[in-house]
Formats: sequence, structure tokens, C-alpha cells
Amino acid sequence: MRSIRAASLAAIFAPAVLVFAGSAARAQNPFTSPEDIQLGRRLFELDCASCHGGDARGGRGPDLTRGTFRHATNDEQLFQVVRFGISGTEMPSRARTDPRAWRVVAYLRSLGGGGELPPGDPERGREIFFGAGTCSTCHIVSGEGTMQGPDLTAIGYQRSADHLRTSLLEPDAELDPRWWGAQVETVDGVQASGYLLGNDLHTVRLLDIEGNLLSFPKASLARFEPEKTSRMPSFDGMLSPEDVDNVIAYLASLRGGATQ
Amino acid sequence: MRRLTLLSCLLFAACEVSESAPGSAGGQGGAPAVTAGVIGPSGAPVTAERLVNAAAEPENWLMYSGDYTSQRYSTLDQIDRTNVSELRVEWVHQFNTLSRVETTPIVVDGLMIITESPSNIIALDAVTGRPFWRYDHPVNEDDLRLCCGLNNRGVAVLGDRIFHGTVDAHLMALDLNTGNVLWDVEVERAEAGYSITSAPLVVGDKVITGMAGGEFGVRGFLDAYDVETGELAWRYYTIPGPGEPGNETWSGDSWRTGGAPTWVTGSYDPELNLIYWGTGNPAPDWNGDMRLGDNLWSDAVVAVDADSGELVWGFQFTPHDTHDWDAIQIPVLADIEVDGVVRKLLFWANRNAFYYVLDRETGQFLHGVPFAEQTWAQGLDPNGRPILVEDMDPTEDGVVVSPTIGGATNWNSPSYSRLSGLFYTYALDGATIYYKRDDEYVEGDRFTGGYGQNADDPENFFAAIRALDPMTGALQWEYPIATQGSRPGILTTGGGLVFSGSGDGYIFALDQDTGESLWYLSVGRAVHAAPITYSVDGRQYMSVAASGSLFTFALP
Repeated sequence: MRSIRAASLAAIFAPAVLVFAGSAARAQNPFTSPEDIQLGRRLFELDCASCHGGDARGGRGPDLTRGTFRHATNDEQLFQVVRFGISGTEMPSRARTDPRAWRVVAYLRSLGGGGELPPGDPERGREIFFGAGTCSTCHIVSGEGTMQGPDLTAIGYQRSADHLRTSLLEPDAELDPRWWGAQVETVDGVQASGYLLGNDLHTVRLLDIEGNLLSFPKASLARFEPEKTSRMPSFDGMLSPEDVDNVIAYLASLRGGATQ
Repeated sequence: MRRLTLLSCLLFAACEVSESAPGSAGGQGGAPAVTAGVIGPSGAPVTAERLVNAAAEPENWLMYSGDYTSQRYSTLDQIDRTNVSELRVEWVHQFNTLSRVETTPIVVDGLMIITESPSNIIALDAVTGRPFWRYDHPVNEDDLRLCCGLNNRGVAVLGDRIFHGTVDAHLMALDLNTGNVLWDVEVERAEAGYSITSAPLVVGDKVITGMAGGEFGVRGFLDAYDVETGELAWRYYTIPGPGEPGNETWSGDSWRTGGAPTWVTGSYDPELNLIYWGTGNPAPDWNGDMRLGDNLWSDAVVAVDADSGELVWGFQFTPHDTHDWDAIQIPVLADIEVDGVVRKLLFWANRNAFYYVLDRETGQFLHGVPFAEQTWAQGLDPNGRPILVEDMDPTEDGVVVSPTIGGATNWNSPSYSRLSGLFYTYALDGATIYYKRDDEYVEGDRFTGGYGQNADDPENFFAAIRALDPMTGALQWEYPIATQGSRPGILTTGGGLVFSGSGDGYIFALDQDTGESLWYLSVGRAVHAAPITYSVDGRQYMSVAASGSLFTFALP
């Protein structure tokens, strides 16, 4: 009786051991049955869909149906992302236990690589981006362009096509707080404005239009007004629907990587 | 001071700026120090000329070793022997990693740039420690080949750019104020064993980077890239190819996989236009039978022309090394009067336990003595070549040799104080049992030919910060520190102080002349980094990373 119980416990705990085995032996997903995938889908809808969409085709977060992931090339890395999030990004730690994370991984793997690129001509979109659209006066792609707005070098990995469309046509709709602005005025009457890089109990940090980094103790401020609106104009009506498609096709094609 | 006060600033319009008066003190628990200011070099870019004259602006820390001499000496003297006991924590930055932190911060006019494992960058307000931006470098750990952890030791700066080497062997340029990537080049293939853990060095219009991989049978090199475009300007291979002088010091084809990497930042003499860089172990580390000969230029210092990348001279500390004693130390440059003539010298406390003085114009060996326990050499001959003790090479059964496999010192930075005239280094007295094994080169696999293990409980070793007479190597004083986990760099200042740390989690300040402990603080975990100092608005700060945090101190 005792030996049977021991064998059962070993079977139950073996996956956990594998998870933490480190690089010597890469962990395999112990939860890959159809039931696990179904459970993984439910967990995904609860924990992940608010950013990645109910069908995982992306929203604010990237489309996860393409079969490739920017921060993970194997199941173990995907598990790490789902379980612990990605430092320095908006991807939080969501799965509260290892089995939950593994089941989400199983669900994502079950989606295969069926994601499709949006319609439009990426090459024409690139011409608009660097030309008539004046996008590169505020954005940078693989070292080309200017610094003020978000670096779009890997935006195709980071955002879904639907989210890119929303950003282009309704810039304020889902604006990342990283791109909020702020106006400040010190008690001495000095005024400044720019992107709000940081706002905490004691300090405010801005990047102004000149590219200067500014740091203010809050005690020195007579006025501090965050601006939760985008500094980018809406391109609704400024570009033809075809050209909107073209720009989105171009942005969706941007997957990062070395520039040379 | 280049921290600028805004006089008038319209919304998103051009700002007028002017030099500010020194700000009020404050910070810890009270009113912050500055009323308003532009952080960073927006008003006065970091030019190549400023880098040459970095020692003249001690308020900044413009490169890995402070300035091109790599003395890690700052003339700042607000914190001195009389008041250092009042030093207090000003702010702490906690890294998003449990990996050990080896970063040396760069400080440019109130903007601090630090690095985080594996290859991330964080820009902070140097007064408050609050972040402006961070760059997270995506790495695929499956592709990495690292002997010793996911480390990064810092960045370089020029103009509005930061230069950054990564564990997956890329070199990048990023915008100083936003962290946006301007260019990104693959220096070598990570999966073949190459990585970059050290800070680059900017010289003129080029950014110089070393590389790591001595445990993977790489062929070492130094690269220079155009700062604007990222285009490769030159590559200097530390192992000469066929037909080049020194290739004959490698048996057969062993030069192809002979190691000699360049994994710690070098120094530069603008007058001679020479870059000085240390090189690492020959590969495989512990089996010398597979690479008979002296194995030039492994375990050496090479002096390379900054424009062409051509070798001008080299000096090999440990010919045909079989103990993994990389000459990966910081080349410390100093101009010292000898017999009425000012000589351009190079000071070097080596992992092999000898301290060397070289003429850095010619590479001529001038003097060398042990500075730590060693059993492998009877001494150095008139050319600086070790006179070997017999039977000290590793064997199948193991041979006990001092210094240890980690060396009498290692990559951690020494310091030369222009105030005290002394050279300060970390030193370890200990021994390792060295074993030899057969090995075969397979791309991307470890290629070491043996291993080592402690010959005694490390508690029975002895570690210290040692102060040496730089011309004779004679010991002036020593300050014992933890024997395990200590990889501290050293900072000396115009306040007569020696700042360093210990493997048991202390940061401390010593009297430069006596080694007397004047101040210490327990920070809980090992110090694997070098302290720096800077000032903003007339207030001096000292920063040092310890394990997963960066601590910054100032007087009340």
C-alpha cells in the first residue's frame, strides 16, 4: 500500500520537479490533454483576454495565434512569461499557480500558427509612414525616425492589427500611460510640459519636446496637470481607408531585430 | 555644473536655459535637492574631447573606469576622512533580478545610466534615484553560451548616445534620453560561444568592444565600430592568424579555437593613440597539451592603434597558461617621474599573483613581484617572463597550485590614487587543485580540458584590499575582507578615501594612508561591483551596487 502511494505522489509531483530543473533538462508541459487545453482556454479568457482578446487574436496585447512569440521560443519560456510576466513591459504575472500557467501554455500551443496578417500593402504603408503621413517625425523604426513617440521597431509583435487601427484612428482610446503628457509650473513660475515619464509621491519626471529630461520635486510645483490624451492626431480622414490599411499592414510587419 | 535651471519654458516650445547656482541640500526623507532642472547632457553633449578630459569634470563619471587612465580616482573631496563617518543612504535602486549585479554606473550631468542582468539598461535621476526609462533587451537564453552568469558591467556614452554590449553578442547604440535603439549589430554568433558582458569604450568616433567566450574555444578579438552607423571599422584578433607573428606559438590549428577573449574594458592614451586591453585564458583552459607553445596573445596586455586596430606591442604575463589566469584586469595608466624623467607607465596586478610595471610606450617590462600567495613561479626574469616551478601543470590526479582558479585578483577594478600615490587592489591568498581532462572542440560547447576545486575550505584562505607602492609593488597595508564571494572594485578620492566592498555584504571606506576603517555599512549581500562618485549641484555622492541593489550615499 505504501509503495503505491509513493508511486502516485511521484507521478503527481514529477512535473513540478521538471519545471525547476533548470537548463540541464528543459521542462516539458505536463498538462497537454484535451481537458487541460479546454481548461487553459477558460483560464485565458479569465486572465488574459482583456489584453489579448477572447480569441487570442490580440487587442491591446499582441496576437498570440501566430505560433511565434517574441519572448519565448519554447514551452518553458512561454510558461515563464505566463507565470511571471515580462519585466519592463505591460505583461503582468497573471497565472497564480504553475498548473494554471501550463494549461494556458497548452491552450496557446493548440492555436497553432493560424494568425493572419492584415490586408494592405506594407511597402506602400512604409512610404506613407516615412513620407506623407509624417509618422517618422515622432516615431522611430529600426533607428530611422525621431525619438519623441513610441519606438515602433517591433510593434507588430507587441500589438494586434485591431489595436494599431484603433491607435491610428482614435489615439486617445487605449493610450498607454507611458505616453501621457503633463504640464507643470513651479512655485517660481517655471513652466514645462512633455511626456510624463514618472509620477510618484515626491517627484515628477518629464521628457520635453526638445528631448530634455526634467525632474521636479513635487514640493516645488504650484501646478501639475497630467494629460491623459495622446499627442498624436487622429488619422481618421487624413488618410484614405486604403492607406490606413497600408500603414497598418506595414506596422504589423515590424517584428524587431537587428537593423544591420 | 551642467545641471541647468529652466528660466522660461513655453508648452512644448523651445526652452531657454542657464547655469544654475548650487541647489539646496536635502533628499533623504526631506525636501529633494533640486527645484527644477534639465537632466543629462542636453545643453552640452558629451564630446570626444570631454572624454579625453574626463578627469577634469569629476562631477561626472563618463566611462566605465572613470577616465581613460582607468585609475578610478576622483578629485571630489567633499566627503573626506573627517566626515565620512556621517555618510548615509540617499537612495536605493532595486534591480528586477536576483542575478548578481556588476554594473558601474555612468553619470552625465545628473543623469545616471546603469545596467541590469541580462542586458537591460535603466536611466535614473542621479539625485533622487527615480527612473526616466528602461530598455529591456530580449534574449533567447537557449542561444546563450555563458561561462559565468548573465552579467553586464556598464555602458559607454558619446553625444546623445549610449553604447551597449549584450550577452547575445550584439553591440547597440541607444538614444540617451529615451532608450530608443538607433542601431544594433551582431558582433558574433552567440550560439558559437561569443558574448559581451563588459562596457564598451568610446575613442574618438569609434566604439570599442571586447567579447567573452574563453571557455567555449572562441578566437578572441577587439572590435571598433563607427559611432554613427554601427559599421565595423576594424577588428583586431588577439590570436594571430597564419603568416602573422605569433601564430607559430600555437601548435597545429589550435589557434583557431584558442580563446584569448577580451571581456573587461580597456584603457586609452590619447597622446600615443594606443588602446590597452587585457586578454583572457587560452582554450582549452586546463589542458595545455592541445595547444603547445606560448599561445600569444592570451593572458596578455595588447597595445592597439586606435585608428587602424593594428598591434603596436604586446606583453604576455602568463605564457602557455594552464590555470585559467586571464589577464582580464583593468590596465591602469599613470605618468610617474623616474630618475628625473616622466615615464608613461602601466600598472597591473595580475590574476597570476604578480604585480607588474610596464612602459606603456614600448611594452618594456620594468618591474614585477608577487602581491599575493603563489607557488607556480620562482620569480620573473629580466624580461618579465615567469621562471616556472616544475610540475605545476594540471594532471589527471590533480595538482595543488596557488593562486586559486579565480586568481589572486580578477576582473574587479583596482585603483591608483594620485593623492596618496598608492595602488590599491583586491587580493586573495588561496590554492586550487587543478585537474586536466581530454577534450574536443565542438562549436558552442564548453571547451575547458579540465577543472579545479578548492584545495582547502575557503574560510582558511585570506582575502584583503592591499595598498601597494606602485613602483616597487611593496605592501603598504592591507584590510582583510571575506574570503568567499568578494569581487569588489575600488574607488579612491580626493578626500583621502578608499571605497570598496566585501563578499559578506559590507560597503566600507578606508583611510588611503593606513587602511584604517573609517565607515562601513552592512548592505546584506555581496559586493560584485566598483563604487563611483559624482556630484550634482555641488553635492558629492558615492554609488555602488551590491547584489540586487544599487546604493547611493551622501553626507547629510
